[in-house]
Amino acid sequence: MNLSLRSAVRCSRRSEMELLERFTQGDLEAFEILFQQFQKEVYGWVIRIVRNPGIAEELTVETFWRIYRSHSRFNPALSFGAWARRIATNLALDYLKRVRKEMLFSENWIQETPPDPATQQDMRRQIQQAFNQLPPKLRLAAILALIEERPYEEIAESLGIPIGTVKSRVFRATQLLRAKLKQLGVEP
Amino acid sequence: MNDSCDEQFSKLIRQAIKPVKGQELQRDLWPQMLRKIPDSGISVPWFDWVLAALVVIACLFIPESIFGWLLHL
Repeated sequence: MNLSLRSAVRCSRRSEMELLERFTQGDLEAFEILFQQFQKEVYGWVIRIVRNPGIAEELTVETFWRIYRSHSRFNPALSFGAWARRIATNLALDYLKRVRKEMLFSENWIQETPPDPATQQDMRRQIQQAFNQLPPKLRLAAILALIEERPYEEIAESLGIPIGTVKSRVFRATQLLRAKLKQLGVEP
Repeated sequence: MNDSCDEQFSKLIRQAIKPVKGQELQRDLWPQMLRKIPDSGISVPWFDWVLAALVVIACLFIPESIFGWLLHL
């Protein structure tokens, strides 16, 4: 790294620290800058879990509202993005607990790619049904690991739990899904 | 259970429940956020509005009171 680039990086880190310090002091302008910087990232994470654009928007705003209210507790030396993601994940988990009995994966869900013709419509519905019956914590881990294929490290960080716990939740979710599908007459 | 069996199972799950792709935020959520923050705009408590209305009414019906109000400024 050359000298000018290094000093530019140092300068940008300093201004980021200043921004975070202003935020911890309750500066609304600093909060707005952080909101503009991270709203897409938070929304992108939440929608993977809740799979509904309207709900994802609501939870994104709620995440930042909680961030704003607890601004004085934030340590500027830590990552704002990771903190925001953890709050967003907890809110999304609360949402999954609330809608436990409802269909999270509805047929109306906008899909970018057309459904695979090889997969039977009925089997797809049964898998969705089995997924919806998973306990929320296992469902969250399974959505992120099995469907969204996010790395275990990222899931663990966003949930604030060890990687081993994420692996065990995904394993338990897989076991339960297999058992439920077997009950439904689907042999994966 | 072996890895290939797990991978096959994950693939089947992904065929039934598609991953979220290309779902970007369509609008700026700041206006919604701002509505949640109570002191972000100019907000005047209701009793201040009542006091202001009382002063205006007093000035209209008792114009002499204007001098009295001016003394308080």
